[in-house]
Amino acid sequence: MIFLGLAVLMCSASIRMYGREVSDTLDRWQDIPSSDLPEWQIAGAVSRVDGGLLEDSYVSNVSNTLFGRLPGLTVSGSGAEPGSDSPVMAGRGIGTFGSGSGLFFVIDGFASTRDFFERLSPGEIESVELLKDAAASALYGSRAANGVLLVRTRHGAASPLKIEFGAKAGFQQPLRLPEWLGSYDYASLYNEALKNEGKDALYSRSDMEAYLAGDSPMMYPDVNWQDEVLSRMSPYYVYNLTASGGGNAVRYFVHFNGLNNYGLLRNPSGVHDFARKQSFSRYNFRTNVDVILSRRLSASVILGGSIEDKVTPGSNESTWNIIDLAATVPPGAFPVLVTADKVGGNSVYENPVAELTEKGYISYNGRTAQASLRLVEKLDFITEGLSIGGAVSFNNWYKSYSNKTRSYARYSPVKDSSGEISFTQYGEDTSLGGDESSSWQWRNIAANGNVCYNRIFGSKHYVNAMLKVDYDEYTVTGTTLPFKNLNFGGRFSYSFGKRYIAEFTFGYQGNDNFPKGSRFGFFPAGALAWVISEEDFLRDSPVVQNLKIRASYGLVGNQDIGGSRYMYNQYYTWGGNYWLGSSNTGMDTYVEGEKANPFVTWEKDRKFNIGLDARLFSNLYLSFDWFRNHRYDILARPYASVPDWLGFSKPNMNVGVADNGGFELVLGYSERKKEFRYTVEASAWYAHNKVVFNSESPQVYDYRYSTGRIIGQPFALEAIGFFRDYEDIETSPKQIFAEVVPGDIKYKDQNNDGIINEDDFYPVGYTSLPEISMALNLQFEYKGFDLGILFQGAANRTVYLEGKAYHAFQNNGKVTTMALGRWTEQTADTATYPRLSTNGNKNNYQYSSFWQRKGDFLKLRSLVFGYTVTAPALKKAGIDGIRFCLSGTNLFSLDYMQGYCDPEVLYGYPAVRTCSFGFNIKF
Amino acid sequence: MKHIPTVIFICLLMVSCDYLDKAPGVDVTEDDIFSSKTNVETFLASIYQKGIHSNLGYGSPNNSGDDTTNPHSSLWSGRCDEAEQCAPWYEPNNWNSASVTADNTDDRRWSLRWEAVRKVALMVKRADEVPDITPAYASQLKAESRVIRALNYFEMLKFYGGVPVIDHFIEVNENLKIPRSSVEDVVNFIISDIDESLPYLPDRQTGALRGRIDKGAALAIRSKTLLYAASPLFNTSVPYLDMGENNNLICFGNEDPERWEDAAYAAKECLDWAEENGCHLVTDQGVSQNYRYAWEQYDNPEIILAEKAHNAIGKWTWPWSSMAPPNVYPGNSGQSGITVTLNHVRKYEKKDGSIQTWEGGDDLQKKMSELDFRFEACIVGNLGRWNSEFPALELYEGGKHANTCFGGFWLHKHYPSIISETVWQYVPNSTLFQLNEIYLNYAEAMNEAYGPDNSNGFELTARQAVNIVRARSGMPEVEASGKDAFRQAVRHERDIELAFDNHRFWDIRRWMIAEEEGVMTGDMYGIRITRIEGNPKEYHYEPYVFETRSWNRRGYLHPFSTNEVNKGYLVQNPGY
Repeated sequence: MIFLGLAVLMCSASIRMYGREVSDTLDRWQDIPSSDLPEWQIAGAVSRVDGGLLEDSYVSNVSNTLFGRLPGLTVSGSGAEPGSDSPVMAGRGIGTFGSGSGLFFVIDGFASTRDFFERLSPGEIESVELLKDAAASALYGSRAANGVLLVRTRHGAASPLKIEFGAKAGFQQPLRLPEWLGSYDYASLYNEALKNEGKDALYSRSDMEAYLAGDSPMMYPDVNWQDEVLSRMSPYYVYNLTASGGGNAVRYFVHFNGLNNYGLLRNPSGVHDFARKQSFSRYNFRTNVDVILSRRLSASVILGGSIEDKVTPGSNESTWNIIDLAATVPPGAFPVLVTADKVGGNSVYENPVAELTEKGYISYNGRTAQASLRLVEKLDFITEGLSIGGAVSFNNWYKSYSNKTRSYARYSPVKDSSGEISFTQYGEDTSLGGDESSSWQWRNIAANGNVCYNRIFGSKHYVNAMLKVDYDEYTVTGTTLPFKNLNFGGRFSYSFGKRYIAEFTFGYQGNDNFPKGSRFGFFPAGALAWVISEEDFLRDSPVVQNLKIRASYGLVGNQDIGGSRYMYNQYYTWGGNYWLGSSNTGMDTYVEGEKANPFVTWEKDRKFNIGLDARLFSNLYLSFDWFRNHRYDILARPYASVPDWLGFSKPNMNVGVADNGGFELVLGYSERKKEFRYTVEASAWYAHNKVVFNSESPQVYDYRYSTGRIIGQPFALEAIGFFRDYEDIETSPKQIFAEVVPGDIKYKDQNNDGIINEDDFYPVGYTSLPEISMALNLQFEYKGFDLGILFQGAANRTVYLEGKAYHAFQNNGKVTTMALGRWTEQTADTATYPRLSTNGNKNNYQYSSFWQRKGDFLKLRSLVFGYTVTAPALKKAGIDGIRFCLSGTNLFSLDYMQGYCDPEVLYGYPAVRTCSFGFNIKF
Repeated sequence: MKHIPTVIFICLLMVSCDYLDKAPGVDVTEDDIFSSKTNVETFLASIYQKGIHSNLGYGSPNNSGDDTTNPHSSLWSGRCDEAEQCAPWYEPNNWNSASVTADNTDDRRWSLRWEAVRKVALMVKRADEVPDITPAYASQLKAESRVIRALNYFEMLKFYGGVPVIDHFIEVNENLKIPRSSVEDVVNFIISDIDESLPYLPDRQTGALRGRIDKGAALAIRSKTLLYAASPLFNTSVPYLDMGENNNLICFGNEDPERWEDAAYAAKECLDWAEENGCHLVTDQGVSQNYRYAWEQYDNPEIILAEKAHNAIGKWTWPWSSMAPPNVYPGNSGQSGITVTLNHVRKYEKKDGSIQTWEGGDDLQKKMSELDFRFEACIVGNLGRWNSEFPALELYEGGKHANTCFGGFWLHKHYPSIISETVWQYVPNSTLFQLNEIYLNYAEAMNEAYGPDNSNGFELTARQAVNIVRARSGMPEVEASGKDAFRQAVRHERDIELAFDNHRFWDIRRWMIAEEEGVMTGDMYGIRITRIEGNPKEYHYEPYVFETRSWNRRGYLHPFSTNEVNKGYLVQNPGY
């Protein structure tokens, strides 16, 4: 290892992985050999987006700019809290029911993680590519099966110094918020719920009158806690400075990006000095330098980093607790403040506002560093086109926490018989305590080396070959040993006259999680392409400018299989005590852990892809890919075969099988008429998976099998209305979850056994990850004006309404307008919501289709309107141009949520709409 | 220097594949377990944890639970005519409607037993390797383990008849398709485990070692196993339902009276052991209290082996919450309580040995006060005492504690009186083998083998053994004469003496009387209690049918779960 480390430190050269060459990079890499294939020579399936396209809709997480941008990449939003707003991303949907279904991230040629990607700013990203089929991804062998996201940062080109400065200011607004009922409505509905349960009313007639009158805010307040903790608008700022250029010997790209996003929690300042506002900031730095050291040797240095600070008031890193508390405390429980310096509260509830103002805060400072050095040497003296390279890289992400928290006293107003109001204290004020002891890190070291051979023989034989070896090793807080990989790979591409393309790619990869002797896997893939438009009969066609068909087939793997690490080892674990003797003395027990699986291996995926790329009538372009993936060796417990009398807990074994298939289609029209340029591009992609075999235990009823269904198929009781009356209950199948009364949800008896129980959970709906994604991208330019519009839609998606905003009074929660349509005897025919009940109704809040909603939506993800000024006067001042721009993201959503919530963010920190104004100056 | 990239490339190629080897870690492996006395004892403790069952229910209803001892949710009494588990969602009620099926089995210890069997095999295989223990202690570890294996095989024999005999530590690459063994092979396997272990076991575990296996426990298991083997369910050529060529999986295939002699001798050996080692019936608490003391006081001299898997448990949760009446100490979704049936109460004799009648009338309190002391040691009737906080439970119509008390009696046995508002948590110990059982095993087998009054040269006759048990609760001697009448007397004595101790459910099966009216089928009686105007001391009671139960002959043995049968290596028991 030391030998290796030293060797690597002294060394190395550059390798760029797979992907398309674009014009400026062609220039840049002309004199630095590369293994990349030019676009015409690609036979696999790849989607690509330029970093520049992502900049206008960037708020705090670059993943949230990828909605609808990469055909084949399903992106599904999952929250907008600055700093924890990662969407779900899946390459061609989900292909496995194993626990690791995430993309593999490669940044600048090195294995990386999603966290590093999300800490980049779009201004430093040259391109993001999704490698979809086996041919495109086999080099990454056992990490490629879920798709590879290949990210490149920007490098300088040979040009005079270019400086660009941009700044953007904007605000975020919650898209939709739950509408909580006020004190009077809350109290009357709560009384109704109690009455439904045969209990006495909690709020007396005089209470109700006092709530209605609203004239005694101390004893009968009406507090909208949500409004008290969430503001309707929060500011954010983004600013950046980029300098790039260079000459024949040295080229550079220097970038700075700053971001401040203040979040929706209200500003608590002014009460205590220590209180801090919610905020999230990130600062990115990057210096990428390419140097031609000699006629043969070149070097490339990448140094990128970020610093981020996140502050959250209260005692949790996430805002969830505060928002959840605001969804819990009844509006009439107590006032925000009982006196100027005493906060309200009672024995049950803390005060959501005081969580902001009194409790202190949790903050962290996070640092990422991405550093690499590459050396490439041309070996033309051996044979023309041959080069060798090596590289070493270090990546680090470290987070350290700085927390200041305390407890606070809260006061509940009490009125005595004479009408005097006094306050009962709950909890104590404590002094602020600091904690600097928590931290977390992810760090790695990686090295690689490669030999490339790119040459054109004669004028027709294009040969492009590459062999590589690399290793990487990463360490994560909370694990006992580093994770290690050692990989080999290669690609051989041959083209005849730019017409016929054949390609063979392989990965030979080893990972320390597998038993010695079977650690390495071989992952081959082949692809063929025919550029028909290069044939004589089409070459001069006015209709067809480009027509290429592609096909690929190959094997890739997924080493992120889930289960415990080093599963081939038999572990014994502590299993509690046995209490011997008359004095009951605990004896420790050690038990055989899950049975070791000495044959554990990675998941394998056979991927087949055919595709077509075309450009017709100069302006119309089309790209289509169709794929079938067959995943096998997925870990599953062999419930269906291993007898219980072996007496060990069944090991995870590589027996599972799942299929995944679908297509991507892009259709665009692009035209330029004098100064008017426009592009209209529509795209859609679809991925449908199916569990083929998961060794699940035998089920009594066929519909209870998850085999044969989509991965993650929800099983729900099928709601078929509300019970009308007691006769209806008598004559219906018995629901065992709780005693039912009229107005309760009635479920379908799927097995007709007269009992509604766990056997009646039926496969209903889809998962929350859509099977179908759609995008409509419109770009217009006229003189200095530009307009970009991106619509994104999703279909075959189901969401589940859960949490206090939907389940009235459950988990001690409140009640929203949704419950106004509740069942009562009078509204039996029109009710849209079951009869009300207080905490713990076990019938109505079962996982049922009643709470499922169609999750399809169409959103306006991005709208950008810009104007660029290029006046000669500016030129004289040394300014090439100034662009002013107005942009908005998530401006509206068409969906089936009836206005209760955003279809992607159902509860907690709300989904947001963003509007901003900015400018960008080029020098 | 120009060729550095080349040098490096070659270096990378030379990286050895050992690079991916796992660094030595702190994980505990099988070798570590057998590397020291301390470690091997933790492993032994885990054999106890998985291998010693409990008569108490530590799991919650409708949930297999993760308790490693007994994931069932309550006592077995509600599964037979002794009692009724009041809350309908508890699983004992499945037996009373004959709705235990292969898809709805009633054995939550199925996989725990197999885990124990596997651990025992490993202990047997490797105990000798432990460096810092004596060969004698290694032998004792193996012997204790094997007795626990015998106990688990006996439990499985009770549930299923013949099951696969796993006599060694199985590796995954072996043939895993081991079929069921015959009843005879299973019995022989149990007996050989015990007989080969006896020489290495300590005579009596005392003090801090109470709860570990000693000779007494081994002999008690042998006594019980041979008693069951001799009983009509297994000791027959005609099983309860025909399985054709597989009949030997559910019975011996012949009727052999010598099995009763073996059972008698096994019980005698256990009684001899008790005599020599200070194990005796509790007789020093007074005739009214001896019996209560014997079940309520942990580690009393009458106990041979008890389960000790838990430290103190709060009264709101299992096992306590499934036993306390709903208005006494209600627990987590428990709120159940166990109500004793009149079918069972009828069996208690009066203190003079005569039969009590229950025709209805205005003298409930008097009727109850006349009963055998063992009645009030187990059961709380109207105005009876639960503990100091509940000195008189009101079970009459409108009374505070009458809700769901269908039988008119609450079961108190197994719920120590000490549990209260102040002592809100308490250690549960579940007695598995108690000497009173061995006397009755002896009496039953002696009577079958030699008749009620023939001692066959042993110390006691069947009759004397029964009378010893009766005498300590102040009951007169048993009068039945003749083998058949005495058989009924012994069975009756078992019903009373061993009531609620997880015997009745199995006894009615091995005697094959489950199908009789009032046992597992037909009417279950309780009493309706009403106040008598102007008389605060007496209450009116009226017997009534609170439940009509049904029975299916397949219920003599348990079903294997469909899951397991579908794996293809098991023959299902008949009728399922």
